[in-house]
Amino acid sequence: MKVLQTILLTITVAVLAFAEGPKKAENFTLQDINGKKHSLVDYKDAEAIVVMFIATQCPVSNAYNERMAALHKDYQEKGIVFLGINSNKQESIEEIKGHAAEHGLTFPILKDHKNVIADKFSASFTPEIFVLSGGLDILYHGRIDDSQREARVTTKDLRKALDEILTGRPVTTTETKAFGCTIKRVS
Amino acid sequence: MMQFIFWIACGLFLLTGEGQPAVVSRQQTSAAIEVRPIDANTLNILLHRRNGRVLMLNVWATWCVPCVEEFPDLVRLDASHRTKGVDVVTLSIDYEDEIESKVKPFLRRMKAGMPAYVNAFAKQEDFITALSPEWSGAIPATFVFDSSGSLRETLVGKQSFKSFVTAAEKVLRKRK
Repeated sequence: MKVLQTILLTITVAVLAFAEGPKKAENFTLQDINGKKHSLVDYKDAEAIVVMFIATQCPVSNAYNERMAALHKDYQEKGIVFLGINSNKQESIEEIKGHAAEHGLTFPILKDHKNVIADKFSASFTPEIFVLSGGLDILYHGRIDDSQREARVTTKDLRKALDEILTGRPVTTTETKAFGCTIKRVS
Repeated sequence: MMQFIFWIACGLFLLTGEGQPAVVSRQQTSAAIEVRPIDANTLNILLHRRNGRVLMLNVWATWCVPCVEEFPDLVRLDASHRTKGVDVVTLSIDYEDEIESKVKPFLRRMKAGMPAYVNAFAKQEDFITALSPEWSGAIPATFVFDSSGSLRETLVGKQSFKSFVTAAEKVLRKRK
């Protein structure tokens, strides 16, 4: 009986999960570390917008610096926009500038003072990724890949999602999880 | 479809695990500190063979600054609540090959006598979901399970001693 109940509950949860449509992100406007303003709606014609909550002091986020730079390099010419967002209260604009220069992060990095945008996205850790359509549907949410040690990666989830978007297919895995550093919010 | 199969697997997984050996044991001495890898089976036993005790399972890493900062309060909680029916257990997400070089030296420095594990799940996502499908994977995270192995409280982010105590006592009160 208990097994039957568990299976029925499982089926109900699975059906509900499939019944939901894509969630939508709310537009925002933030300044990048060089003072330029960016709004999500500025990129309505992009193939996709990759919003990456990142950090300067988080070892997990830092393990992905090279991979983030490579993703940007590989996909920007294909019409995909990359926006880094730093919501950590203790990481200053000067620190973010120095970190980006040191690690070759050339995509815009926006400073999210008082973690307003992290709250809107319910982002909780770094690096945490949201891939949006030009119409701001959330097409993918989760990790870059499945291991912070690059040699152990078995699934390149973000690349897979971007490739599917670029070929006009639906994203097959829309949610993934990974370990990360909590975003240090204002109290 | 994968999601569907995963939920079925989770349900069946929770129904197994009876008749397995107990896994919670305290460190004997700080010099011979023991850190064991934890996989799905061991975690299942840890969560469900409670012997009437509450479990506070802290997920941490040596590289995580807030985890390191809150750790002394976990040691303090272990000392203050062990005799009140609370098992404080730490579970590091450092890699298994970092047990000797990073995890054990840290636990030794903290004089941590609680049982200690290192994540040995092949996939991070399976570990995260096994603890709580609602958890994003952000650490530090502390999960409070009641004496029947049901998750009652989830604390994500750096905690104070007071917040650890509040969560532990809330679940302890429900036990009575």
